[in-house]
Amino acid sequence: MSAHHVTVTVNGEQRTAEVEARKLLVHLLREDFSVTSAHVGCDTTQCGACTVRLDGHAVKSCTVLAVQADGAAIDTIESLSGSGDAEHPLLSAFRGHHALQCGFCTPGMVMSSLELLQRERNPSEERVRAWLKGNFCRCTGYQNIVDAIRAADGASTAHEAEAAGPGFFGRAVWRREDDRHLRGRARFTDDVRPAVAADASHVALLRSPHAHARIRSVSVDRAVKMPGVVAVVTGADLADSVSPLPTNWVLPGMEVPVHRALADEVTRFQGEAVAAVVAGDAYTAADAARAIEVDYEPLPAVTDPWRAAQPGAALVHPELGSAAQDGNVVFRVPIYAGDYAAAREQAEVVTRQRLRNQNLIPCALEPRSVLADYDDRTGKVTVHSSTQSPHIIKRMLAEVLSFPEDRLRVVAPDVGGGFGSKLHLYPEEVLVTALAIRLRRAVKWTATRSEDFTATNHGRDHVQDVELCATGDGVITGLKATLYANLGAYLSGMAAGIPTANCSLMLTGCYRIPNIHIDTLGVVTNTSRVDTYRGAGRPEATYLIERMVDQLARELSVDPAEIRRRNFIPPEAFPYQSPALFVFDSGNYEHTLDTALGIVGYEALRREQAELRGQGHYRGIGLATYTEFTGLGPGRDNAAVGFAYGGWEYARVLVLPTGRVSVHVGTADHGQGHATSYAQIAADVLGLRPDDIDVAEGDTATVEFGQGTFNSRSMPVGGSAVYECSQKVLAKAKQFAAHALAAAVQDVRYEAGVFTAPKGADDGRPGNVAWDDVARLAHFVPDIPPGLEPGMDERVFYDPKGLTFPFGTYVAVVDVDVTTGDITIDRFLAVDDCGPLINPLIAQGQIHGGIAQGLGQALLEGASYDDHGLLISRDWTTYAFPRAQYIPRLETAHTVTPSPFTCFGIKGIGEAGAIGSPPAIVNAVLDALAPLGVTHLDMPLHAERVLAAIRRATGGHGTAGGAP
Amino acid sequence: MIGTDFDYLRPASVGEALEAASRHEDARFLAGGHALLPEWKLGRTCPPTLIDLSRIAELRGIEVLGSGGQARAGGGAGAVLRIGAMTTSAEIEHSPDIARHAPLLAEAAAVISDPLIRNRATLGGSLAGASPRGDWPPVVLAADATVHMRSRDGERAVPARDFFTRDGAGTGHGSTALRPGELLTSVTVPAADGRARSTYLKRMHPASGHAMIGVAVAAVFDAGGTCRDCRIAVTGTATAAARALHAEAELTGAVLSPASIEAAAQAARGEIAFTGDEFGSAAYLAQVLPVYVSRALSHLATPSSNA
Repeated sequence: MSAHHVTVTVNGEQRTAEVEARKLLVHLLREDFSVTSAHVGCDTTQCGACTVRLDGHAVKSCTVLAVQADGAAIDTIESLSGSGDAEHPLLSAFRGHHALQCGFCTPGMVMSSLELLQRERNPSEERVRAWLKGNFCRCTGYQNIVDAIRAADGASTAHEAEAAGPGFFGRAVWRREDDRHLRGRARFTDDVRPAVAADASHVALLRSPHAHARIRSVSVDRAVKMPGVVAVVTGADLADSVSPLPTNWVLPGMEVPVHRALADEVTRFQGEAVAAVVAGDAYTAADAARAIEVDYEPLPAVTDPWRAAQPGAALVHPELGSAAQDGNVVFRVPIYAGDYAAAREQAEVVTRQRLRNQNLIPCALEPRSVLADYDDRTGKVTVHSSTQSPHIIKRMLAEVLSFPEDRLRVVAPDVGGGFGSKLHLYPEEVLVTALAIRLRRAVKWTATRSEDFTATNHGRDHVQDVELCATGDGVITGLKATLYANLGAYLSGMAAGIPTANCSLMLTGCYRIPNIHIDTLGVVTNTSRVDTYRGAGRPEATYLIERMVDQLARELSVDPAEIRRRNFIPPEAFPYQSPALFVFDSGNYEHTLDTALGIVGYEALRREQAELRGQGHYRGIGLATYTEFTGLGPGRDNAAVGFAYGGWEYARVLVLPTGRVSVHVGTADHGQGHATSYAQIAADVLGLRPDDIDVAEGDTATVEFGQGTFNSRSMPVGGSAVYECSQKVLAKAKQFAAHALAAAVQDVRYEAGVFTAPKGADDGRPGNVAWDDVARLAHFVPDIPPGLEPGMDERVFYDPKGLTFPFGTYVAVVDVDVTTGDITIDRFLAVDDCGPLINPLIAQGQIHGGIAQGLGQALLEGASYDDHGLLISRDWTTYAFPRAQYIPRLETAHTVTPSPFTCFGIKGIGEAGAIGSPPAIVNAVLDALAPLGVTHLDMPLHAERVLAAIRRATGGHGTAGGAP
Repeated sequence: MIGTDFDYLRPASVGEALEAASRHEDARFLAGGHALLPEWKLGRTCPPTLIDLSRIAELRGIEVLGSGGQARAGGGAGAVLRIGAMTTSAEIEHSPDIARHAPLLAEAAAVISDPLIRNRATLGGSLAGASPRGDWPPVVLAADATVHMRSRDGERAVPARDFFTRDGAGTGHGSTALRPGELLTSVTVPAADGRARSTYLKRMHPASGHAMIGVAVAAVFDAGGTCRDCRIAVTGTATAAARALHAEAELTGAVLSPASIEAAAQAARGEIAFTGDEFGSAAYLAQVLPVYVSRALSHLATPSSNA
């Protein structure tokens, strides 16, 4: 081992360390100097989350050796926050433009753009986007970052929006979450230190390099003997003490394959963990993992869900009772309504297609990380995990490890993006916690990006055979579909529900289609587990129906907007009972469509398109009108579909003696601005300012109950819970106030922090009492009103009254270069309706981010496997993560159609962007190429694929739907 | 993280660096590290010794030299730009001397990787690595550069057209004329004169960010618009960047016109072979290459291309 003495100046302070030559600068900063604002997001020198300034230049600290930096001056984002000075304009601009969500990319983004602004005055939008090529963001869609950078240069000081009216609901309040990220004081799981020990022991996992293999033998002898190695465990070691990971969604009659935290006899996907090493540091653990010898016998593998469903396909779980009969198909769910056969027979038009909704890798910028800290004195374990559902993880860990739940605490600290991929129990959470308990110490694991590619759940991955029946006027009479949904090698927490409840029950989209015949097959394959990923089943449904409606329109030569009008569920039909179980709470699709077409100037666009076509220029206009559901969900309904989640959300509102309010909610923010939003809701009910209200989430020791964040439920369900709980507190406060004012409760009025009662002419009663005084009265109780307990502390377990159904119209205008197949997005408009907006800045940010991911799916992304079942797209050099220069300027607007079920009529908006955008883009490209005879394309629309389709069509070979 | 530890040396001169290389078997020179370290992290290489060149002053700097080899301002006929091997892509991108005398290099530098990588990645490191998807190789070919190297046996200069080979001790996927124990010390580029026009066009790989296709063109036209001398170099090829000699022949002695451009573009297609991947097969890249050659040459026809 080499040893080098390194001296650097970090944010103006001289620091020294003894390091190995191989130590990276980012690790020197994070580990030796506790400067954790430099983040590690990848291992291919691409993402820029590690960007710092080195001798005045922005560099990626993950690709500089600590020894190379000897003698240098390093600045990180902390250096921009002087004490007492006015905030640096770049930080203000980021705050004012909502240029950060989860905050993981932010320090690097700021340090990088600092150099741009030093080099150039007034950079153009294009210039800024090109500059950010090496700074990835998954949450924001970049637009607000670009605007912030350009605004910072203009030296304009951003000011928070003034109130349009009374109250904070609906106001673009700046996020309180931003402060810690902009000051470099965020705490992501890998930043967390153990409570007592100086540092945690580190876990490295040995993972199977095969898609499918039998484990003949495992030898850990060499690994165990390496200096610094604390323990090495294999599947066999854990068989008696660690139960398999359960799933939370079991469909009737479905068999659940056994999923062990460490494979013991068979590995079933590339990256499945086979052994775990615990060592004093991460380097030693990794070295030791490489020293473990495993003798694998490779087995045949299958990764495509359609192929895996065919008779004779290689079996992933031959041990299942159902395997003999059904092979890899672990469930078949029929959803039939009306009489499809009759509709088919009577149809004047029948149109068919085979659609693929490709396997996607969620790519949250923060790799997953788990720290389990075992306190030897108390026998309690605190688990920090980059998770979207700490309470569920806690319950499941207790179950899997047979460990008392009350001695377990799970904390989701700052979480750097999730998008559904961090929602479910993972083997690493089980292993790290089990090891901490067994070894009685703090144990930590953080994924590398390459590891994350296979170790973290994937999304989507359907093959869909679809048939649509209609009249000659384009009125749809029937929909038939067979969906082959990849579940991966094991069932993740909600895997069975995504293609069924989330997807198939939404296949009719915005339309009245009375006759449906849908078969959904859940298929196990040798891929990573497939489960929730932004939209979770609704993108797959929306893509299907929006592609088919456009295809029908094209075949009948009907304008795509017009055909939608002919089929929309009309506004008077709401709440609308869908033929497939759900009740759609509210909708006004045509109004939103008209709004979108008005904004974009649809008629003019079509005229322009015709002119351009005449010049040999291929422009396309694509529409997508979506509806989807958010706000899972009423407990009874969840149970009815086999989903073992209570569905409620927990809120507690407590008032401290000083009058300060604490709001606890069981959701789990990972960039969505929950604290800011909940404070706005509570402030309005309680007549206070958001600054008077603290919000806590994510720690099961502070917030005892919760369901986590998924399905865009936090605002409709969590927000409604906060609203109702705040009302309870207000009601009690009024009782105290009434007593203090010697008035009847019904005579007490409350506004802006003051309770008033009508004053008698001469009775000397105080006419008003302030909130803070009421709080004091409630705690010091000089005079307790009869029937009332002291204190003001209420809790609510809010069971949603129904799912909420946001909807919208997206319009994409594209140009296709028919010499290369390249696609340029000329314009992109999203008009969404999620009811009233709590915070327009935050809502817009969610839409931008969702659209960026949707454009990623449509144009760039896709996990592809080779013939051995191994990932070809195994890191960001082979999987195209959307960069700033790939996302066009996004236009957004809203219509407002409230839900009857929630407080203020709010609906969720977190996923809509990823749901509406892929079909809008693909429909636009097909619209552009229609004159050339191209009728079908699969995502991602890589240039070669587009060019090939053009050549086939113009060469006389049309693209046909049907079997592959 | 880097899987293996190693010896790390930081010589103060070229001589020391060469001496260190001779004493340590399998030692690698460390320039910007932005090709070597990523490879190392993925476990694809693990040199036992790294010789960091960052302290060697002689390897830095951009100078304008007269035809006699002395530094002078203003360029002029016969003037040459000398770029030290450790010059970063960012320094090239922002250098007023390069903007003035070798605009092709500045234009290309601006599209290499991203600005953060450009602050570390060096010209010498990129040429020695000779990645088939790198931007510098076709650019130095089109710029008619000369690569200078030194070993314990002395100095040599190799014209760019002979530098990228199928044999050699190159450190990257491609191969170069560098011999074992030889250090690339500088690159010289003839200063472009008023009649020269050039451009670099890159088709960026959507995932890796490298060049799927990179076309660098530089040409000199006489007063009548006839092309006297042209170099068309293409990256993204199977082994190394290469000059499209047949394409060049179509243009030399001809006036730039849609016809001559198209002829050159089609000629290029025939002489360049690609390696493809999921984002563009070899056949696709070959199909699309003429489009890029054509666009690059058309760019030369516009007056602003000499800026």
